[in-house]
Formats: sequence, structure tokens, C-alpha cells
Amino acid sequence: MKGQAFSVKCFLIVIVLFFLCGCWDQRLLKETTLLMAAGFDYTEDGKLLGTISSPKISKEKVEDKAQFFSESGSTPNQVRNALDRKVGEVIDPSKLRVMILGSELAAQPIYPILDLYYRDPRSSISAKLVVVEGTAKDAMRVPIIHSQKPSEYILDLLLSAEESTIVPNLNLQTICPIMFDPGQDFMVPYLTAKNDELKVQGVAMFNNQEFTGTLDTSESTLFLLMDNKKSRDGSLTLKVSDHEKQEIKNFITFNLEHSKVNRKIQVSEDNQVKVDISLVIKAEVNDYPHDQLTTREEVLKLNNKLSELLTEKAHTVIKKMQDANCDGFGIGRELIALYPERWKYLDWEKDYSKIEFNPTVTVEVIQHGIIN
Amino acid sequence: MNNKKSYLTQRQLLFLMIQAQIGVGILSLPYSVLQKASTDGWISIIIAGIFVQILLIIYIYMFKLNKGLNIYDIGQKYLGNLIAYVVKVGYFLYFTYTCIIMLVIFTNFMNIWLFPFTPRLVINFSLIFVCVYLVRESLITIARFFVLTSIIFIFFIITTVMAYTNVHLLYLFPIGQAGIKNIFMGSFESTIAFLGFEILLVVHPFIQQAADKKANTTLKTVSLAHLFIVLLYLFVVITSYTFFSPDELMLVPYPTVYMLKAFTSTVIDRIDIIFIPLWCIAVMTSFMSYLYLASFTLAKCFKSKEHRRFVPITGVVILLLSFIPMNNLLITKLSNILGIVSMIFIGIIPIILFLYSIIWKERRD
Repeated sequence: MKGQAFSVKCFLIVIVLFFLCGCWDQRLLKETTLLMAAGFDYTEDGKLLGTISSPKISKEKVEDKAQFFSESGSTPNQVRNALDRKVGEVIDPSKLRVMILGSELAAQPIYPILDLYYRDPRSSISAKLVVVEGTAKDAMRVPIIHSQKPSEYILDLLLSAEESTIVPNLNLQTICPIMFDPGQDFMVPYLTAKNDELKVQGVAMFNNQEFTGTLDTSESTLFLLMDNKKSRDGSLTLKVSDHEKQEIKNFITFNLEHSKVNRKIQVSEDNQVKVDISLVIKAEVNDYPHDQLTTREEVLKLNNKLSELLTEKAHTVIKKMQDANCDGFGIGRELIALYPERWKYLDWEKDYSKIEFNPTVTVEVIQHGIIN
Repeated sequence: MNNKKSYLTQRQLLFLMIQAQIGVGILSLPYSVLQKASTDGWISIIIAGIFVQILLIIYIYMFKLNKGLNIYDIGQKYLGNLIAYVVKVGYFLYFTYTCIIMLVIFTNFMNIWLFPFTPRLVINFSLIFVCVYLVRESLITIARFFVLTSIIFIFFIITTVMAYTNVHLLYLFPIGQAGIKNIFMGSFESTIAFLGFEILLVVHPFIQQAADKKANTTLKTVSLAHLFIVLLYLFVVITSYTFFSPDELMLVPYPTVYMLKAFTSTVIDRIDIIFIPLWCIAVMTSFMSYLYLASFTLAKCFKSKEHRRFVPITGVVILLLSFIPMNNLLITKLSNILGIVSMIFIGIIPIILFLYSIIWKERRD
């Protein structure tokens, strides 16, 4: 009797299982095209040009190749619909990995382009945003030439750049609060596509929603250090002298072992903002053909030289940021939060470029590999 | 079990209160408070929490003065048959209305977020069916289920903690920028999220009384449950305020889930999709509480002692009424009305009865 009741129960459970799954909202992999990378440009007549890449799935196997389509339209959604008609299956944005903007397009407010991705519950907003020199279409073609998937190829480039403190670790969602905050601006990786090669060229600086300037890789590293965003490792190369015959001997490369930042903001009675940034870098020299790091004097001399050079460089970085009107440190946010009375009198769009920055960088060589 | 008189233990009461209070509100709470009180919304939550705590103390003292009675019996005692009947019907309508609003918001959310093609009927029906099935049982059974499902709050907190990899505390400053008036407006908004504690008005006679009559065990339990909810809401609100910047938050009506979209891990690609089913359980339990309250009240209206038979009737009424076509604007309007109406049923009526009880007692003395 007991055994019978048990089997009836089991039977019921199995039957019930068939009724538990709804069939209205199933999305089968064979019926969708997974959108892995999306790129946007403007066409010559001012329309949007969308480019997508997705993995190729055939009946027999999933090929490790990407397909590549472009279509133009007036809104991002119209572009997507036009692409939909081209690829046959339904485009599914839930696996989006990278979002690529052409430099010309990024120079105008970018939120209207991204709005669709923020609004659609299915789209993945953990995708990375990058700006490329020239057009996104050309940049996305590069990995295709090397028969690789654009999404993976670009994502790998970005991840390794993030790890070596060249570009900040941001995605579509994490730039959004910054984009809407009047007292902060963001920077995203900046890529170039030349001679069939893609390369991380530094970062693209934004003012609110517009792309306004770039920093090269060493400048962006220095910016990230000053913003206390050191990643796992990173290195800087500096020219320490110019009287050596052999060019290579004029340079030094060191690894960033550890860094510490102190930032102080002062606001005077007449609304003058002064920002002191003091950065201490503990460095490991790993390329210095002079081989002189034996005496204390030599090391101290090197420390001084490096500190001096980097302080100078820090000034250049900040000058560039102020020219681009990119408040990457979020000075404005700190003013809103801590000096709300003063903030009311500031017109940040104009006053940011006028505030006084006072960066000092101190380098301390703490290791020099396994030889002196 | 049905005929034997059984009581709620203090632990069951604790979880009953928690589960009844946490429902649809938690997803949009940061947003609705932000609209009124800007980034000082967390202060509003604390004020609303204190307000609700005062109400809870009033409830408990009212029941102390009227041992073994529930709100309807107390009404009967002081207000006379006719007014008491009107009050009863009023409560029934209020509980049913709350159920409908809850269901509509829930289905709307599921439709946008997870199941764009599934008909509303299916979502509505499956929720109501499960709830009717459980609510037909005794309160003790319902409470046991609530205790069992309370494990979701652990996962709830763990998933929300993910956001702390990317928060910016400066967004909360300057404190007090919204002004006192707006902060109080915000606390009115957040009181709606605390609704559910009125279940105490009905279930109080079912609570097992401690042997030591002087110790306020019930008050302690209820306050503990309330404290947990205030802390959870504060946590959720502060997390979303520091994750989104104030201007962006104005665009995000469901910040609690939305912020989880930003994170991926190797194993779980979309944490928000994991979060939603957890939230569904929280909605289901608070829907059950209200369904229980509505059917219990209906039973009282018909002078029946068993709420059992009235559950399917209430369920069908709710199901039918939830199909009145709804757009977002109408839903917002209806839930604002709920906020105002609720003040009558959680505040005004119990306070009047409380005052009556005091006067009555003094006269007798």
C-alpha cells in the first residue's frame, strides 16, 4: 500500500513538472542571434550606423567565428530592427560584452545612443564601453580579419589594460551615475585601429556626455594613481637623462609596487578652489641598464629625479583634463557634499578649468630586481 | 488541528510580522522616497519607522486593555453593532484593495522584467492559486510557512551586498539638504512600505501569552520584527543611494534590482534574475497575509468562525478586479490613494478604539 502511494506521488510530481514551465517566454538559442559586441557611428548623412557581431551557430556545431553586420537608421532601436531583418533570427542583447563608439559619434552626447540598453530589461549593462579613433565599424573589422571574435578580442585587450592600471574598470552601468552627476566625469578606454591592429591608446576623457579629449597610456596610469585606482600592477617608463649615446640608456622603467594618495580640497572665501594631491609611489626598478643602484646616494638621486619628472607629468595630465573639462577626480562631487554653500556660487562647466591643482609625486625605489 | 485551539509562538509571530511587511514596496522604496526627500530619504525611513513603532505600542496597549479580543470585537464592544459592522466592511475593502494593488504592481513588474509574452492572467492566477491553497489552512500553518521561507532574507542581503563594490558615499551628502518638510513627506511615502503590521490587529488573540504576565514579550517580539525591517530598508535605501547618483536614480524606478544588473560573475551572469524569484517569495507571503486578513474579515462580516470557505471567494474577487486595464499612471494613482486610505485603517480607527478603551477603563475604575 505504502509503496503504491509513493509511486503515485512520484507520478504526480513528474506530471506537474510539465505544467510548471511556461512556454510564452522561452528563448531558444537556435532562434536567437547573441549580440556580443555592438558599435555605433554616424553615416555621412547624419544617420546612425550600427554594427554588431555575434557568434556563428550552425546546426552541427557552434563555430568559433563571428558574423558581422552593419545597418543604418535614425534611432538605435530602428538600427536593431533593421539588423534583425538581416540576420534572420531575433537579436538578443543579453550577452553584450563590449559597446564601441566611433570618436566622431562620441563627441556628441552619448546617452541617447545608450538609452535603449539601459531601458531594455534583457540587455546586459555590465558591458564595457570604449571609444575608438575613427569608426567603430573599422575597429570591429580588425578582429574579423584575424578570424577572431571582436567581443572577446576587445574584452581581452581591455581586461589586461585594466589589470596594468592603464584604463579604469568601468562598465555601462557604473559610468551612468557619473554621467548624470554634475560634479564628476568619467574616462573610458580609447582604442586605435591602424594597420589591421587594435591597440589600447589610453583613455578618452568625457565632459558630461561628450568625448572631449584623450590621455595616452602613461598619462592615464598617472591619472589612475592620483585617483587612487591602482590595479594589480602597472609600470611607467621615463626618460631620466639625455646625454647617453645609446638611446635605450636614457630611459628607466619601473613597476608600481604600491601607491598612496592624499587629496585635500580648500575653498577660499571668494570661491577659489585649491586642490592638493600628493602621491607616493613605491617602485620596483626592472629596467635600468646603468646598473648603479648600489649606493644609498645613487638611489636617493634616482628617487629625486623620478619624483621631479612625475610631478611635472602630473601637471601635464591635469592641464589636459582641465582643457577637456573632464572632472575625473570628482572634485565637484566633493564640493557638493562637503561645501554645499560654496557650490551654489560655482558654475562648474566654466570654473573647473580655472581651479588650482597642486600635484606632488614622490617616488621611492624599494626594489631593483635580482641584480643591483 | 482545526478545532483544537492552538496559538502562535513568539518566534512564529516574529516571522509573521516580518513577512507580512516586506512585499512589493521594497523594490521601489528608494525611488519613491527619493522623489520626496531627495538623498535624505534614509532619514525619512527612520522617522517612518519611529511612527510605526508608536502605532505598534498603541496596538499592544489596546489589546492589554481588552484581553483576548481582536479589533472587530473591540469595535463591537465600544461602537455598537451598526458602526462596528461598517468598520468591518471598511477593513474588508481595505485589505482587498491592498491585495489588488499588490497583485497589479507585481504582475506589471514581472511582465516588464521577466515575462513580456506571458499573459497577465497566467501570472495572476498562479500567484492567487498558490496563496488561496495555503491561506485556507489555519493561521498556525501559514505562520509555519513564513518561518520556513524567511531564509530568503539571507540571500536577499547577500545579493544586495554585491553593490558595495561600487558605492560612493559622498552621494549622501550634504545631509539635510531636502529640508524638514520634504523629509516628512518622504516618511509618509515610506510608511506605505511598512504596511502589513496591521496584521497584528487581527492575530493578536491568537498569540501565545507568556506565563509571566508582566513581561511585555509580545511587544518585544513585534518591535524586534519591526527593527529588522527598518534596518533592512535602511540598508537597501542607503545602498541604492550610494550606488546611483541622485540624478540617475530619478530615472530608475526599481533601483534595488536594477543595480544588480551591473554585476556578473563566472557562474551567475545576471544576479538580478536570481534576485527576482527571492523577491517573489516576499511578495507572495505578504499577499498571503492580506488575503488571510481579507477572508478573515469577510468571515466576520458573515458572523462565521471559519475563514476557510471565504478564501476562494476573496481570491476570485481579487483575480477579477485585477484585470481592470491598468497603465503605469493609473497604478501610481491607485497606490497613492492606498497610502492615504491606509492611514485611516492603521492609524485613526485603532487610535480611536484605544482612546475609548482608556476612557472605558477609567470610568469603570
